[in-house]
Amino acid sequence: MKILISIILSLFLYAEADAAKKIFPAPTGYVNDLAGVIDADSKGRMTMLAERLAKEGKAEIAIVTIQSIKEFGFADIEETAVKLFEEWGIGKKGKDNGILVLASMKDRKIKIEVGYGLEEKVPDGRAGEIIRNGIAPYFKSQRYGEGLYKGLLLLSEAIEGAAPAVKKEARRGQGFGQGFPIEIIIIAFFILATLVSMIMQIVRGKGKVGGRRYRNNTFWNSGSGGFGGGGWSSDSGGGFDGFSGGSSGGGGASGNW
Amino acid sequence: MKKAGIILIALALLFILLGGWLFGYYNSFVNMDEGIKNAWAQVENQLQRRSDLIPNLVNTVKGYAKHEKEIFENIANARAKLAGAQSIGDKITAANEMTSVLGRLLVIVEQYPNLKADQSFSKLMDELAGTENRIAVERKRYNDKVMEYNQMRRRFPSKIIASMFNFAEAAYFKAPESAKEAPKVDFGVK
Repeated sequence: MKILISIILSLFLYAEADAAKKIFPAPTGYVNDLAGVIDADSKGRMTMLAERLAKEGKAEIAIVTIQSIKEFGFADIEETAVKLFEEWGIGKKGKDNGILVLASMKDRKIKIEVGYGLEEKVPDGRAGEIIRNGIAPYFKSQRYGEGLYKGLLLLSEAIEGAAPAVKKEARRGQGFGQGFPIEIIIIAFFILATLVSMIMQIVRGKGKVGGRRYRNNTFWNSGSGGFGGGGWSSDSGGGFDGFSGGSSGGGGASGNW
Repeated sequence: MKKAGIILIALALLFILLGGWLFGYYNSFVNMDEGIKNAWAQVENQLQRRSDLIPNLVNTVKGYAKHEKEIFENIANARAKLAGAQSIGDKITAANEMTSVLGRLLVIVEQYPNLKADQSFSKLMDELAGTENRIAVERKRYNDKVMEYNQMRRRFPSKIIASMFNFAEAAYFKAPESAKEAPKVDFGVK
């Protein structure tokens, strides 16, 4: 009997392997200089500014440099930025107040990817201006660290100077299904079956209703933010606690130098 | 008698599990269907955003390139077509048409250095590029959801539930061939 039940259960509760492969290395701070082009002074200043913005809950800004987009298997910088943003989950979940400044050195391309929640404060035109007039001039004379710091400074001005963002259109509710088109059975049966189905859904991870969020959190999957404070809590004075699951949808601007 | 009791309990359990299984798949379909609708709403938001950008863009370009009448007409037509489209299929066709017309506009713009130097035009181009990118992102997310759903529709055993409750196949948003590459200057006579 027990065996029979366990066989049936295992048939229903088979878990599909989640092929969420990681493409990028985990973030080590707000500044991730993978290409090794930022001087220590600029890095320190950027880290301080980014930490303050994050602490005040205004924005989570990630500054990233990479050698080339090809190295990660992408065709353009926009795609790379969207994927990186998604994987790290830059910004607070729900507030989506993340910004990613990505520079690809060999491609000579910069992209500012703006999270959903900051699109009003940093519209594409402003982001483009920041690249053209703020970052690119420095990059032209190989002063990469300073250029990125200037960019971050201009971003922080845009975020802190603007009027509070208007709440974007309400998210569509989950709604209730259209009733189950079979005759009413026994209530107990209904409850039990629903329970089983819930367990099944949780295990199979198919319980997600798509909002803007691309990936869903389940009990054991801490989600795309996936970089919980844990070991970092020792320095409570500030520091980097990881990004917290924000999302973006391709907003922002890109440019070159 | 004791044996009969066990069998009865086993049958009841089996029945419950079967029901749970059915409920689970049904609800998964409902959730996925909702997810697709949601993703599509995001796509439409971005298409609308692009449509809203166009009057400004056209006015700015007109200031420098008044005589390019044909392209302005094409843009107006594409915009009207998108606004009039009802079904998702029609909207996809109209949106793709808009993408290719805007691509042609960008080629024309290349011939006007003064226009390109205009700060407000640069900003508009940022908005347009950002919106195109947003459309691409939301389109991909929509297509991913459609794929997940359509796969489940065709896989066994969820297939049975799909046909039982008429969960119809969802349509992909295929990008136009021309949108996949940067617009090229066409020197052909037309």
